[in-house]
Amino acid sequence: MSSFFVSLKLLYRLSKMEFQRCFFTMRMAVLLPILLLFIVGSSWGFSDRDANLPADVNANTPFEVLFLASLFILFSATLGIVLIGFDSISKKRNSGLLAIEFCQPTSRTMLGASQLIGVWLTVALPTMILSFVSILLIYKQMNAWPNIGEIILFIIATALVLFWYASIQLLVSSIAKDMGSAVTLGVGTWLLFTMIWLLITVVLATILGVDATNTTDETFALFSSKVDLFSPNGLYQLLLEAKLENNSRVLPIWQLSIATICWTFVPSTLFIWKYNKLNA
Amino acid sequence: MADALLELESVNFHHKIPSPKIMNPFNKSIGLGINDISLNLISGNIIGLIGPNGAGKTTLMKVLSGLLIPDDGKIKINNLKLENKNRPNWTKEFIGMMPENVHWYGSSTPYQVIKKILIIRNMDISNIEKILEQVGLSMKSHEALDTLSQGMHQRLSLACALIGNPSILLLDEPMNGLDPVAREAFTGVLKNLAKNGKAILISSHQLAELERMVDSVILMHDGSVIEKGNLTEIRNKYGIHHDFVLKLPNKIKNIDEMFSKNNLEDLEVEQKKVDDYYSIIINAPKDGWNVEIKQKILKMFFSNDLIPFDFTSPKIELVEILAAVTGLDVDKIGMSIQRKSVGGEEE
Repeated sequence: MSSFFVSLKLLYRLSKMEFQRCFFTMRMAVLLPILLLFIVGSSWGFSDRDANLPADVNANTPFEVLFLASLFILFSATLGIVLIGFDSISKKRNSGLLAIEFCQPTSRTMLGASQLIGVWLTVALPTMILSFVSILLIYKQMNAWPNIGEIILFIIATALVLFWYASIQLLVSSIAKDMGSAVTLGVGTWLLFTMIWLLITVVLATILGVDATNTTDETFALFSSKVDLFSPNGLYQLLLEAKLENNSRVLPIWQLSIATICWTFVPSTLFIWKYNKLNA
Repeated sequence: MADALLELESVNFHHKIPSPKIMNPFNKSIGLGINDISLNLISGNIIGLIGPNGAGKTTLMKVLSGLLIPDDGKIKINNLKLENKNRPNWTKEFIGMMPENVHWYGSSTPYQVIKKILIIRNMDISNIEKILEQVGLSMKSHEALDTLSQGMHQRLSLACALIGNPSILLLDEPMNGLDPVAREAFTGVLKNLAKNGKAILISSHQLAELERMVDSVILMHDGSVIEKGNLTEIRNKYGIHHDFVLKLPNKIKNIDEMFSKNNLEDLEVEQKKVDDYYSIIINAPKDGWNVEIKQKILKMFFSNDLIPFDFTSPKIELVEILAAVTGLDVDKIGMSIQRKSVGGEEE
């Protein structure tokens, strides 16, 4: 067998082991019901044609339901990645286990990549399964399927946003020297992109002279979509919005592609680089 | 003489300590580390690495294991010179490292830990029980790590170091947390490994615990090797010898006269009352003790109807050897260690 396939097999075995380590934990026991309620529950609710949703939210097509459910994925699944990944490097380092792993004749790149894949799969796999369950429920409620392109886009975009968060979390975990800073950095980055990003967008708009008092204004919508390229949550929404009708936040495909490639490779490469430089 | 499995020549390493400045928050300054270290690890030898906290033992271990990359100097493994950059993975197959105070936690078991290391090394996982048996953990192989004692944790760390049958073993403070029975067993395991041709470097800040198992020692202080060789030779070189203490129920009158009569007037003798008995402390001769002198002393006591109920030779502490080798007095060495700890040395 060529060395490439040997490496691939080793990566698979290590990632599987990391997945098992992360999955069978108390944290996941808490997270799984939350994911179930948020993803499946929101899809069920949004696809109910008789439901009165607040703030004039309505979903007329199965993909619009998935789009609305994606907001709940952003709250629950990304938080799940934070909970699973925030201390996965720092805890090992402080306990001395990382030193033992680093003394083994396996490249740190391989160990880091397996760690990343393991943390990502721990949340991504249940999220994917629950997303498929959601699609079934949407069909039951609306008697219509999202088209295959929409399903693929939804699944890939969701998998990607979780991968971006996994990369960011492991990067900050490898920077954190103790549990306190691991929590602060981990939850801090999640809060930044999930809660504070709109505030940052509004502040930037005000500084750059874009009217931020009317968030339905087209100029502000275009501005916010450009700012969203720099946030994993924003980019996730932009990718999904590309399939929505009557969307005012349309960006050229090349901008979305570059942002997607950057978010996929920059944090993960930075993490692997940092992992290779770590003092165990 | 057997070939050196691992050679270090004039190796230096200094920790980079974050010292942020207003204009450069990522600024780092050069901290403590190890200076100009040269040593050879030879097949079948157990070498003790001895020094106080902050001496640089752990840093040296990490440099040897490839966890830290030296600033300069030469490292050879199996006669192959390595560049001072990331250590190639093949070199790690020769080295088993047991880091200091690994905190094993969680609900996973020793069996799962060994399985994980075997998978990381891309090795067959069929002989996990055999590895655990080697360190006496087979009975606990399926118990949660959280429920195991510190001694068991140490054994598990050793088991991890033994995986892959490495020819060099680096053991950083392996005796921490081991009870006397486990220490004895541990010593036996190490001697066996050395018999099978492994080169073992074992660090400790307690001289006594290494004394019985090592072939030679390396003394470290302030990041440098201050002396190396056989412990007896070092003692003879610096005239560091333990006292000979006899305990008697009653005070001896004319003790100096008794020693003179037996041609032992060169020995310094002190008599002290301790609780309800008297301690006769005989300082070592300049050339150290030999069997004849000790026999002569004991004969002298018995022939004078002075029957000691106990006689001992108190162990020499590390600080006494350091004081002799560095020329500093014991108090100053203590302060020096304190200063290094405050300075942030990673020991």
